Amino acid sequence: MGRKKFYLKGAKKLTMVQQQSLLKYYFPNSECNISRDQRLSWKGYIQPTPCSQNYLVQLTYHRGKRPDIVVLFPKLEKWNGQKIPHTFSSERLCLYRNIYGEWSPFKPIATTIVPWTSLWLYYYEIWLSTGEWLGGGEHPPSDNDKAED
Amino acid sequence: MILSIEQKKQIEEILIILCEQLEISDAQREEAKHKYRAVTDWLVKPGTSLYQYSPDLYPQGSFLLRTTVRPLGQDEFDVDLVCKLNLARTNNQNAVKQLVGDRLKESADYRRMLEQMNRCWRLNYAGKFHMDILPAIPDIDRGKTNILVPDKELSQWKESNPKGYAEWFEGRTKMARAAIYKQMMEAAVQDLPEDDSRIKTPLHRIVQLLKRHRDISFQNKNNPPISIIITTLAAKAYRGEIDLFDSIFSVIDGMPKEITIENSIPKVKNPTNDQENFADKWENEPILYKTFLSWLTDLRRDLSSIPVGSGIAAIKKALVPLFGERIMEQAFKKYAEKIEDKRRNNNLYTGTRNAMLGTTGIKMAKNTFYGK
Repeated sequence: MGRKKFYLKGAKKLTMVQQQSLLKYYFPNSECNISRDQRLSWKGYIQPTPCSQNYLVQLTYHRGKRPDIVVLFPKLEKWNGQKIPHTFSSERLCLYRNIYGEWSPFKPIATTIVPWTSLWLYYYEIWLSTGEWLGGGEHPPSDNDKAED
Repeated sequence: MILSIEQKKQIEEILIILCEQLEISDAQREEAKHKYRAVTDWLVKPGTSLYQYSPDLYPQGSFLLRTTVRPLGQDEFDVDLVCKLNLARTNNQNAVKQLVGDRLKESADYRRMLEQMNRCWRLNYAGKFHMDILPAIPDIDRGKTNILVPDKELSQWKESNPKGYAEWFEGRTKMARAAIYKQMMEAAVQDLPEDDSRIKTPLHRIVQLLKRHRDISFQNKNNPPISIIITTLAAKAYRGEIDLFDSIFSVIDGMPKEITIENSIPKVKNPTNDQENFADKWENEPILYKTFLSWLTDLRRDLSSIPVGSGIAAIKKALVPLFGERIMEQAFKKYAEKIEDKRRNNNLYTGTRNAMLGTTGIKMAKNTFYGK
């Protein structure tokens, strides 16, 4: 099936500054910087439930590309030595599928990626408790764990 | 460690789900009722042996109190019933017991399911229930709901009043039931029950958790505390609180104080009959009293060391030795289902303080986790 992208008339990709503003608006206790070469870097604490760990998460975004999310602290654990589900290489979190149009540069990272990170961390804690990933999701067909685009 | 209100509420949610995994479900309860009504029909049938004694079959114990906990290592729930026959106390205990057994044996089906126990008859509904039918006669002297049941040696009639006890237990939960019902109304809860009679209060949950903890910790130990003692002391110590987490501790702390000491003998008096001591065995076996107290001490220590803020997996790890591995796994899976339900119903939000999941804030957009 062709991958035609349809844009709403007048829709614009959010600028780095707009993404940053929204991130600071929704998560006032977080830090967000934009480097000179237009790389956005966001650091914030995410605690999915009151009894959950408080995770320090870093998000890096370079214009248009899939944002990278990693958990800086504490180190993610494994259940029974198994690989953590729904991660890319270097334990980058895999939160959405491009082909479903779940995220794009038209959407605010603050209202999509960050909440999905909290959701991911919730299911990660449940996975550590039960050995099962109960948050749904899909897997790539082969051993290839490259990002979709 | 000091817990925030939200943390307490979260642990309460998990404990309640645990209790829901342990107890007889509404559907199973209906089925049990259906089954013992069928037994009643058989026993009261006109023209049959017991008809002239007007048999009255009714539930007692945890089924009646709504504090059921499935026994360890079996699929069946224990459903305790009383079969009251209008007979005088001059009748021999074993003779009355045999009257009930003989009538049950007249049915081919019941004869197949029947097992003779010390004082009662057990009907085995394989995979579902053990219905223990205890023969009883009216206690004319004390009247009302008082009955006489055979003692363990089947040589004497013992006073008993399961209906009276249940009424007392219900009285201990009355205020909490009304308060919780009011909360449910104010929160516009769906499927609001007609009245508060079936609402589970922290007392119900505490009794369930204590019994389960007893089952787990005494698997390889002797002298487990008996359920009637646990239930009675917990109900006496309960003050009508509606917050489960805090009341668990205050009930556990209050239980030893509710043990009466008379002439240096510790007793657990039946609240509906001062003459009856549920802990009658303690007099000759002081180890039972000691074991009871150390069990409570251990439980309290274990409950107060539940780690908070170290993640959901750490909580599960702490609860497993108290309540069992398989049941805790089941409970956590059910717990995760709640978030999935909210997610599916587009009713999940992310707050702005540390992106906590909840019911306010940023509405969760649809996403599909990917990667390996």
